[in-house]
Amino acid sequence: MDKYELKRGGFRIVLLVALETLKTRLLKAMFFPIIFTLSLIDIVIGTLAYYLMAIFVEGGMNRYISAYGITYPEYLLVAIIGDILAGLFLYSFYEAIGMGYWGCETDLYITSPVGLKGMIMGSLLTSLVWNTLAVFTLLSFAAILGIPLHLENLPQVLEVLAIGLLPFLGLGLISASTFTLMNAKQGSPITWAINIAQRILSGYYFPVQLLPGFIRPLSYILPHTYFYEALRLAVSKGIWLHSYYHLLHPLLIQIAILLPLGVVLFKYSLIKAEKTGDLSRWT
Amino acid sequence: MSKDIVIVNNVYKSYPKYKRFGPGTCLGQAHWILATIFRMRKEGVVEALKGVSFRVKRKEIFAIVGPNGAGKTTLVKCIGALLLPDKGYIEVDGVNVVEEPLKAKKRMNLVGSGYWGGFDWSLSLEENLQLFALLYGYDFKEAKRRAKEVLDIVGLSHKAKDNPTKLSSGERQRLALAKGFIADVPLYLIDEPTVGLDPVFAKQIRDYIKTEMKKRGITVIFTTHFMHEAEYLADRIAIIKDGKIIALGTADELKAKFTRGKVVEIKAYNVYEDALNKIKSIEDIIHIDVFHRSYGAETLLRILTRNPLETLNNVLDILLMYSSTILYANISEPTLEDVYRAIVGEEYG
Repeated sequence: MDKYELKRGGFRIVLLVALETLKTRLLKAMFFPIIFTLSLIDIVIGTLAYYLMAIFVEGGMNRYISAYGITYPEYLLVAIIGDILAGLFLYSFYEAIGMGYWGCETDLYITSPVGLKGMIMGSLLTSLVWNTLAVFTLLSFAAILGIPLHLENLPQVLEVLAIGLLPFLGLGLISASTFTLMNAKQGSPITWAINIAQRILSGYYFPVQLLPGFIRPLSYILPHTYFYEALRLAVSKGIWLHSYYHLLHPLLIQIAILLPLGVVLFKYSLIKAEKTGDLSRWT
Repeated sequence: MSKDIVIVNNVYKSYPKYKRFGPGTCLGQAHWILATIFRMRKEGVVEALKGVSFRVKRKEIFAIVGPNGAGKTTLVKCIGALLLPDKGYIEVDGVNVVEEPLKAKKRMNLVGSGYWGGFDWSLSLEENLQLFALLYGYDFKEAKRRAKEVLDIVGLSHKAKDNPTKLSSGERQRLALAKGFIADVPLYLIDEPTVGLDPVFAKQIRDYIKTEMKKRGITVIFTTHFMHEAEYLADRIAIIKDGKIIALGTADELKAKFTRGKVVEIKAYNVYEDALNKIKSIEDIIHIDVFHRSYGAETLLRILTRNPLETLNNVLDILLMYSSTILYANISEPTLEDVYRAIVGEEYG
């Protein structure tokens, strides 16, 4: 064995570093406890605002969402939770690189034998913890308000998550690659564009069928449209995604295109960063 | 095992130069969209390294000196596998840096200078160093022990529980060095080891590199702007300019090769501009430094010349002709700084 090989197995050391990075990121989040608490309150206040809005427009909206068999507050809650879970994949890779770069952490990792893997994994774990916390906060809040959680449909929901989140993983990797490929260090234009489009076009606030006909084709490009629809059907009616081909097939096509493209572009962006030194703050 | 720990062969590296957009942060979100579009447009290429080749022996202390923008840091980054060269071959301890960068990084430690270099502001100094030890594969117990040990070495034990934000720039540099000392590796790459340090601590760091690292058989490659530091520490020195190594050897070899002359030092009162202009026109002078003290009344002339005796006589004649009072005159050997200025100085390059 090489004298300078790492003391333990490669993956274990990456995992160890990732956990340490998670600890660091959480410590950072707790470093300003008031901001940390306020951001949790922000989730609740945001949801409360949506909830109140949902109650106000419920009468008018119910006739458009009657096919789902749920109330409008439930309809909106599923979209909010779906958005948080999709965001985990959509934003976390870019955030991992961006936070590392602007916090000068990337220099620490790229000068070490572990490389960026530890930092990216640690950052993803942080987002996972944070987003899970946000989802649980929302579900608890919903339970307090008396919104039914349909826990009996959990297996169907998990299937939707397992398949429906994969296109976002691809998009998230593409978005992260813009950090070096497009030199987009102040924010990814891809996630920015997707975020704007999905709010209007994906059925987040209202069913896609309410959109004018000439805009509607754009909705069918977004993975959000299928993901939210599948999630709502799974939550409200316990429908399995694998039996709903008109949602499953578009998602599988998007996975087949976006995931390999994301992996290739992300890998290429890291290679480019090694050539240009784009991820280092050391000049 | 090869006697050379580092082999750099014909390395080329160029950077794209991007168009910049800004300032204009008042534009809010539109600013970053415009900035991103602007940054995508290349403006040209900066050629940082143009065919650099050299070898460093095991246990050698090797200095890289050169003017700002000469390519020193780019060279160190390429050896440290932080940057891939466009062309050429780099080997560290038998490992091809371009093909196996992570394997190469296990054999070296890269210490930056004057930059935050990965210190997390939310962690204490001790925790920061522990994290870095973990990155080198040590377990938690060993990482903790090493963190304490290196904080002792750099004299920051009393601040172990503080955050890096509470450190002065000198202390930050010491922390960067502590990070460097945490792993047992055969090669250290140190960028400007004493920049920003007070003279007492700068000497301690130099002595540590000179004695302790030498004793432990560690090879050190460092960059510096301080010629006395390079002369004191380095077994060999490479002078780099415009991305090319223009001189390489021991301090004595460089002096012998590049300065066929000596230094004439003269201290005098009332050295007027006319006298100085006349002195500057003496033929054998390679370069001249003029230092004024006491509101300009006392002047020290430091003249590197090919013909010391004749230059001394000529300068004394000129000064006396202009009614200056001579306080002191001496002829000495040139320093490495004289060599550097003779080689790098634009007018004599």
